[in-house]
Amino acid sequence: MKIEKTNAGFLTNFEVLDFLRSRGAKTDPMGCLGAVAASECKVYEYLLKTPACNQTRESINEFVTRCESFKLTNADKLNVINWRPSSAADAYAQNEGILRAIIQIWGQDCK
Amino acid sequence: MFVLSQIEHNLPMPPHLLSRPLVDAIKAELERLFLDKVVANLGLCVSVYDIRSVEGGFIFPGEGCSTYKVSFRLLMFRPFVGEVLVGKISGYDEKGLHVSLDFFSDISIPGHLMQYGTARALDGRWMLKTEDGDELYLDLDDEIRFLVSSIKYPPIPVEQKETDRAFAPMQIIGSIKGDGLGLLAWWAADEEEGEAEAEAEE
Repeated sequence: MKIEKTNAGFLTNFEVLDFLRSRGAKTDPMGCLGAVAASECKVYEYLLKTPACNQTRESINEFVTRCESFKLTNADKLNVINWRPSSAADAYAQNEGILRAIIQIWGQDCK
Repeated sequence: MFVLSQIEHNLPMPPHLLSRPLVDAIKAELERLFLDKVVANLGLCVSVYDIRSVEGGFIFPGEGCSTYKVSFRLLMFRPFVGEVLVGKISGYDEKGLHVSLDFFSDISIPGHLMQYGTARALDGRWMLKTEDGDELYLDLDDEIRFLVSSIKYPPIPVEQKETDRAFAPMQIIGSIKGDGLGLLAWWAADEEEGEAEAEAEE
């Protein structure tokens, strides 16, 4: 075995969820008897509980374009996309830069 | 949280898979080899993402299977340091908490990486004593938000004591020392109380 690239790209939770869905993962316990392994179904079920379950590619793309002016790192963007903070406490867990960005975005939305 | 890793592997193809289309057979064999297993420094393999190239198909002397050189990408679970994850508390001991995402359960939060004022209660549970005098317990099956502090890939132990936990090839050390971290219930309650106060003011 030879590792060509340790990191060939990050994936958001939504992309992983979409990929597993396209492979046929289901929450039905009997559904795991098909083409998808049981461990993949476990990951699928976990991701269904995260905010990724109702995200779309369009909403993620819109987020990326709107937060360009806040100079977030890629890791910060990934954290926000994956967990979609819905309160100040959630945002604080990420870091203060994200909190500031989110407050401004929310402020814009309220106008 | 999830990363792609590109790997090249000389894959022996067992004869009983030769009746299947080549890509399907290779994928099945890769899944048997890598799925739900930990590769050192790469993380936990969740799925085979795609197969990028297949070369060879040689049969070496003394072997009954053809060998292909396969280049493929695996979908790996490998959170980066500083990522925030949500899991369930699956256990506790004198060193700290054990947390589980459903598909990965070797996560621990040591006592020194908990909120200031966290101590162990008489019944063994960990609890946070707040300045108000409240005691916030970290109970089993509670959802907890933690920050990934480090990821370890310990070598296979040469000898193992009876009291040791089962060997875990990949361990995540988490931290709940920080704003917004800890049980989800702690911060959700604050949010609801804040809303109630706001409504009272109106």
